[in-house]
Amino acid sequence: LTHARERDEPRARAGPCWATYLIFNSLAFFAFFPIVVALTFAFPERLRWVVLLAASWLFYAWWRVEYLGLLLVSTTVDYTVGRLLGVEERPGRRKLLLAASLVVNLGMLFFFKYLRFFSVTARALTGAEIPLYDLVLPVGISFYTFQTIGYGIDVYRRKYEPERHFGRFALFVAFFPHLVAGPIMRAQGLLPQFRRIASCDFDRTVSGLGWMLWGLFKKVVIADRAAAFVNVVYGAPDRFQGSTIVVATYLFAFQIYCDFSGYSDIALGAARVLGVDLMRNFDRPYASSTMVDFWRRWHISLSTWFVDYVYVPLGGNRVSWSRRAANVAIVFLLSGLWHGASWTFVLWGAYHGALVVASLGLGYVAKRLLPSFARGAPAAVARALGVAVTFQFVAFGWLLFRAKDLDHVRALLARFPISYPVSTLHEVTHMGPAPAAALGVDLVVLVASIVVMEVGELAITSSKRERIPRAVRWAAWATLSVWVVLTAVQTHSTFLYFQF
Amino acid sequence: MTKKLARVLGFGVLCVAIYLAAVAVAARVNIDEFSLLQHLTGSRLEPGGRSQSLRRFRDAEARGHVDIVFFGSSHAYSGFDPRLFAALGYTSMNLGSMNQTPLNTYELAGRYLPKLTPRLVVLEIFYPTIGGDGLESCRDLTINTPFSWSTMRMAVATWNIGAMTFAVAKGLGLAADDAKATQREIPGEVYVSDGHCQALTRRRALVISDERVPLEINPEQLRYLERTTARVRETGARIVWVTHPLPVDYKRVATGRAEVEAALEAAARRVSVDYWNYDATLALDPLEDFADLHHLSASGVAKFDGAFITQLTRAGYLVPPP
Repeated sequence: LTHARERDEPRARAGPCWATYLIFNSLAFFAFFPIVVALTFAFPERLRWVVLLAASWLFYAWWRVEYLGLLLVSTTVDYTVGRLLGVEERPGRRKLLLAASLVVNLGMLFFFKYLRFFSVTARALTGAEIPLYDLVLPVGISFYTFQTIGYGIDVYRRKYEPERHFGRFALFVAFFPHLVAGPIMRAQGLLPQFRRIASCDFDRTVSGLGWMLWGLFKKVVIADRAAAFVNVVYGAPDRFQGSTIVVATYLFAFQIYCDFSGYSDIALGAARVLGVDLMRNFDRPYASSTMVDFWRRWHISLSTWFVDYVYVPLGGNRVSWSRRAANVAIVFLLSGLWHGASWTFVLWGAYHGALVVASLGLGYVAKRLLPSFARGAPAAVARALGVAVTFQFVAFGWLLFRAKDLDHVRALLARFPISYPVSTLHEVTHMGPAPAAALGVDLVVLVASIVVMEVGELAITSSKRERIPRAVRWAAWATLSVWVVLTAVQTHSTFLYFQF
Repeated sequence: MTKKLARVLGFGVLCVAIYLAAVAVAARVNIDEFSLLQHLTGSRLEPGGRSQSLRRFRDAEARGHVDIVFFGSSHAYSGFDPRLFAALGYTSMNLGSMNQTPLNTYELAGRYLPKLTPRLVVLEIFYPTIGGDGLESCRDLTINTPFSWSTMRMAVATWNIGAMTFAVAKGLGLAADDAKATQREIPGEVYVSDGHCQALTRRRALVISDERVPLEINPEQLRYLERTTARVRETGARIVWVTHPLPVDYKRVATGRAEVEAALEAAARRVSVDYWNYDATLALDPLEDFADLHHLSASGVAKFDGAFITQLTRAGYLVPPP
C-alpha cells in the first residue's frame, strides 16, 4: 500500500507518460479519446455501449491489467445481487443478499486499503507480531465500490429496478470518464443514459471540450504548479518559517481543489462529448460562507452518498440535537477514513465533523436568539466575512490532510510561532535549485491563473453567461487554450484523488 | 454543417494566431537573464549551456568528413580526447552534449552523419541516460544549434509541450539566435578542439552519502539506441557502444546498475553491436582520475582512451587511414 503522500510527489518516471498511465493529463489520452469518440459514434446506437465498455476496461487495464479482475468481481457480484433482489420478496433473504454485496465490496476495500493500517495499529496496541502486507492500492477502488454499494442499497430499498443488461451494468461501473476518481454516480442518474446513447451533437461536443479544457487548465497550470511549492515546503518543514508554511497551506488548498475538480471537469466534459451527462462534483466550494455550505459544494457526489446511505439511515435530521451531532461526527469520521488509511485522515474527518456540528449549532443559536435586523440587513458583509472565515478553517484542515502522519502535523505546527512575514517571499522564491526569477515567474503565473479560475467559474456558473457575445466567448476559450499550452507544468503527475 | 465547420476552423486559426503572438511577446520580454518564454517552457539555459555546445556544434557545422564521430553524454565530450586519435592519424568530431540520451543521439545522427561521413561511430552510454526523457539535451541542442526539422522532431519525441513550443519559437526565429550568441567560458574546463572539453581539475575527496540515486530503464530509450545503431549503419559506418569507468563512490550511490547493464547487454546482442563496458573492466583511481563524481580528469581520460584505442585496434575498428 503506497502511502498517499509518497505518490503525489511529481517525479520523473521512466518512460514516456503513456507507457504507464492512460490518464486525462497524459498526451496518450489525447490520442485515446478521439479514437473512442469516433468508434462510439461509428457504431449504431444500440451497440455504442459495447465500444464504451471495451474502452473503459482498456482504460483501467492500462494501469494494471490484473486489477481489472477486481472490477469484474465487483460488477458481477452487484449485478447478480441486483437481479436476485429483483425477484426475491422475503425480507430476510433480501437482507442477506444486500449483506453479501456489502461484504464483497467492503471486504475488497478493507483488504487493499485498510488491512495494513489496521495491522499496524493493532501491532502498536498489542505488541503482537501481526504480519504486514505491502499491497498496491487499486486505482479508483473507493469510487467504484461506493457506486456499486449505492446501487445495491437502492435496489434493496426498491428505489431502483435492477438492471437486466449485464453489459450496460458493467458500463455503469466502469464508464472510463468517472471510473477512477468519480463523480460517484447513482444508478438512476447514469444507467438510463446507457440505454440510448445519443448521436454526436455539435453543441454537446463543444460544451464537453470546453469542460475538458477548463479541467486541464486547473490541473496542469494551477494544481501541478502549486504542488511544486507545496511539496518543497511540506517535504522539509523545519527549513521554513511558519508564515511560509501558511502560504504553502493556502497553495495546497488551491492545489487539491484544482486537482480534484479539474479531474471532475474533464470527466464531465469527456462524458458529455460521448453523449452522457455526469453530475457536477464541485460548486465553487471556496465561496462557501459556512462549513455546512462548504460540504454542499465540495465533492458533492461523496457528500450526498454519505447523506443518503449513512446519515439518513442513522436518523438524519429527525432525531435529537445530540444524536444528530453524533451522526454528523460518524459521517465525517467515515468520510475521513474513506480518503485514506491514516490517522491524519481520521483527524481531518473529526475536525470537519466538529466544525460542521459547531456550524449547525451556531446557525441554530443565530436563528433563535439574534434579532431579525442582524440577519437581514448586513447580509453581504456577513456573507463576505463568512466566506473568509470558512476558508481559513478549511485551509487549516488541508494542513491535516496533506501531512504525512501525526508527527508531520506536529512538525508543521511547531513552525508556526517562527514567522517573519516580510522574509516569506524570499523563502518562497529561494526554495531549491531553480533560480529566484524562475520561481517568481511561476508564482505570478500561479496567482494570475487562480484569479482567472475564480472569475471563470463565476462566469461559467452564472445564468447570464449566454449574454456574452459568442465571439468574445470563443476568443476567451482560444486564449485559455494557448495559456494552457504555454504554462502547463509537465511533471507526469497523476491526480491526487487516484490514491483514494 | 458548413457553418459549424467554419466555426471550428475559425477557432483553430484564432488559437494559432494567439499562440504565435504570445510566443513572440514572451520571447522578447526578459526577466533576469532569460526571456519569459524560456521561463515558461523550462528552457532556462544560457547560450553554450553548461557543456560548451554552442562552440562544439559551430565546429561541427563547419566540418566535412571525419574518421570518427563520438556521440553521448558529457562523458563523451569530456572522455574522448581527439588529440590522442589525431596522433594515430584519425580525424574525429565529438558531438556529445549534456545528458544526451539515445533519443537525442538518434536525431543528431540523422542530422550530422551525412555531412561528417565517418567510418566509425562511438556511442558513449552513461547509465542514467537510459532512464531519462531526453529533455535536458533537447533544450541544450535547441538553443545551441541552428534550427532544423530534426530539432522539431526531437522536441516532439520528448512529449514535452514546453520543448515543442521552444522549438517552434526557434524555428520561427523568435528565440535563441545561436548565430549571434557567444559561448561563455566554463570554470574548471577548457574547450580543446573537435568538440572535446578537458577538465582542469581533479577531485579532492570521495562522496560519503547515504542518499541513493536509483537508475531506471526507459524502454523507449532502448528502442532509440537500437534505431540509432540502424541509422548509423545505413550511412555505411561501423558503430561501437562504450561506457566509461566510474568511481567507487558513484557505484555506491547508484542503485539498479546491474539491471541497466543487463538491459544494455541484451540490446547490444539484439542488434549485434560491440558493447564495451569499461566501468566493469577498467579500474581507475577514484580521486586522481576523476574530476568529479562521474567525469574523468585529464589523467583518467589518458588511461581510458589508451585502453579504448588498444581495444579498437585489436577488434579491427581502427583501420589506418588511406
